[in-house]
Amino acid sequence: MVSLLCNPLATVEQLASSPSQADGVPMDLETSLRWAGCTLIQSAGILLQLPQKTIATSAILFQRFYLLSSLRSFALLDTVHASLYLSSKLTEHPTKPRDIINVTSYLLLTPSPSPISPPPGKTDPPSTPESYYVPESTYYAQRTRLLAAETSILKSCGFQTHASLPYTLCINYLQSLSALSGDVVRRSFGHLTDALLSPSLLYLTHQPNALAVAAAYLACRECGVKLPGGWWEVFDVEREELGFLVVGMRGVAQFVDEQVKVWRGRGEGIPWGLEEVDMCLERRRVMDEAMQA
Amino acid sequence: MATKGKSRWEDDEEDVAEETRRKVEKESRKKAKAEKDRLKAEQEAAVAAAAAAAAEQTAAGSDQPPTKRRRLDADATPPPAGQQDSNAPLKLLRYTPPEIVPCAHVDRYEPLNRIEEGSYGVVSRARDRETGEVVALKKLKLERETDGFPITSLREIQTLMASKHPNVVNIREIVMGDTLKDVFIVMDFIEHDLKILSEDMQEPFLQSEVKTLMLQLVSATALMHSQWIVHRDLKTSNLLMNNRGQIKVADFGLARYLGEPTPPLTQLVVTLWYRSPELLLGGKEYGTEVDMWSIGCIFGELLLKEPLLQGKNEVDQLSKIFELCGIPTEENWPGFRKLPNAKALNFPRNRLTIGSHLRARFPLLTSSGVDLLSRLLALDPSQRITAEEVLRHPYFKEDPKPKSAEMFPTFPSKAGQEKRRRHMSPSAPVRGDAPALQGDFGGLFGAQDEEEVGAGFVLRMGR
Ligand SMILES: Nc1ncnc2c1ncn2[C@@H]1O[C@H](COP(=O)(O)OP(=O)(O)O)[C@@H](O)[C@H]1O
Ligand SMILES: [Mg+2]
Repeated sequence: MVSLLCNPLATVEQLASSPSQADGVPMDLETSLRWAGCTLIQSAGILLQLPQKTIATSAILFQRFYLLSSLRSFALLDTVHASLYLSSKLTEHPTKPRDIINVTSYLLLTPSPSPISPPPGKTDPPSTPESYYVPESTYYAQRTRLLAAETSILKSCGFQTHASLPYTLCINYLQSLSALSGDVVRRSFGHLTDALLSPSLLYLTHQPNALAVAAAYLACRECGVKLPGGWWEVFDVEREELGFLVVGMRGVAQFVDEQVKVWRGRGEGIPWGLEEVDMCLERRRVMDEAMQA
Repeated sequence: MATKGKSRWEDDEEDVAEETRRKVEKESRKKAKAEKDRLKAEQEAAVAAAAAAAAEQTAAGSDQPPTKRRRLDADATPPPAGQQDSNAPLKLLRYTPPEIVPCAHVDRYEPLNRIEEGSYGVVSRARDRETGEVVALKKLKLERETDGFPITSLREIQTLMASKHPNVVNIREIVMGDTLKDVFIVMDFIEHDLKILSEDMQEPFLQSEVKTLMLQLVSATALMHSQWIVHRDLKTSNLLMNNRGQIKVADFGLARYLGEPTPPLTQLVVTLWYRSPELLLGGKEYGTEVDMWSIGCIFGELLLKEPLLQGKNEVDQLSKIFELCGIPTEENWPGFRKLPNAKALNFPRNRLTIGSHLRARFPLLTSSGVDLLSRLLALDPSQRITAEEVLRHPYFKEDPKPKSAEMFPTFPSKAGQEKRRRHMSPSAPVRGDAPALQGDFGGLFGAQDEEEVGAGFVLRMGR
């Protein structure tokens, strides 16, 4: 049964050698684009009414993919689309490419509470259906790229699409600790979902049992629920790992704030396509040169 | 090596010569591998022990603080001589997770010969160019797909990867060819399939052999079911058998996870002769019981050396079932009338159709054997025996005892025959046909005559 609760993880070498960085994408930009992709997945998943299982699987597939592929070879938007499409099939909630493409277009063009959308008030007057309507030709082009990206994802992870999630485990742990309450569960799940956005790629570096323990630990602390000392060892998590995860999960909120600031104020927006990434890199180069001069 | 029966579709001398040439090479690799396996087994054992310890601790309740577990014991035992690292026991607790590795190219396997063209894919025998091991490659048919990678193939790969068991065919990896449409499942090569093997045997399997095969099949099924996987196409041609008396469940082409809540399922699964009455009657909510029915059919087939219920079409299949197991009634199957296709059928009530005729069909089977068979072939899925229950059934405790797998005869090869014969039996339903059936009763029975005659027993279509 070990394999069931066990996910494929990134190796130390893989984490140290990012294909995007080898391709000239600076580390901070890669981190930022991974955040953008996962945030779009999360927001689109909610609009598509997909269960959290599907959304989380999608984010994990997305992160696994860029572990082995470059952001300059595979466009962010296509990968987001394909991760959603693939995870919807894997979790038995099949969703049409058209729905996925419509929803991301809407999110990227219309003000919404999602940090990925234009801030309210920027696209006055209020948006009309025409402003986020996807023309047929655009749709077909995007769909073709989505399908190609789907195969690339499967190929790059060797069809290791299995993603065990920590949510159910977390409930079981809380229950066995007699710490199960609505508030604790809500907060735990919040931390688990936040962790999907973590710049430390927590879901690629830690097994679900450790993620579940860390989320439960934080939630219980926040709610003032006392737990017996060293309880995490029962669930096969060591203090050191727990400490690392707790810091990682706590840091997500601030990281997200920073990312929102990075992108919201800027006219050029997030580079969802390959050419936009090139332009973004070019702008940086020019700016760096100007700074040096 | 020479005494070992060779599978009949392995190539001849050339192969053998090659084999010998590689033998020396292989021996050294084997040693290295054995060492690796030993380490892995050790690690797994440690993980299992840790899990057990953790479970115990959890069960012990949460009011007293959990004491330090297992690691204490590990620390208490002095490390065996020669073990340099005193931290080793600690490390062993960590299970090495699988890595995220891209698909290799199919070129790393040297093609040998085709085994058989099945309904979805083409299976061939090939050799790993690096290790010399012989493997089976199943090519997925993807040409016609317009919605990306087919969900059925995703399920096949996912469920097979999740079903690691000594009696499930081992999946090694997925490899790809030059185009995105060339995707292959790489499996261990298994010498025989049970269908052809039993067709070629002079006598049926012995009782003791049937018990062993059944236990193997059912323990694999129990693992799948415990993970909410239904196979949906269990039949003898999807059961492979090696020369060491081991069955390997294969062909997860129709398998899937049963979600919660159960998503709508298609009834167009399971090859006709192994299809359960609730599927034939159009039930949309079904579960792991459909596999248990198929296992009942396989049990009968192993004993008889021929398929148990060979219907010509769905209606004939139903009549064959009712002829053997008796007709459904509100007593033996409460609520069966509500199934979509049941409304249209009239069930003649007479001496011949009431009650089970299993005893008569299997005169040599012990009464506990008949009991097991009748529980597997229970018409009402909710009364059907589960895989876990089968494993505890008295049939396996009474004499003759299950024969140990090592004592199985090996089966000689027939020279020159490279390909497995095509099976002379119906094949699994083809995906894509399902929508025509759903909710359309006419689609199921429309093509048939008003009266369908099954061996001396008539089912009348209602109006
Ligand atoms: N691992 C294997 N080793 C040897 N033969 C195999 C293996 N897998 C499949 N076969 C042979 O190929 C046939 C078809 O494979 P299967 O997976 O059942 O495909 P299909 O979905 O087309 O029925 C099987 O009946 C069996 O004879
Ligand atoms: Mg088959």
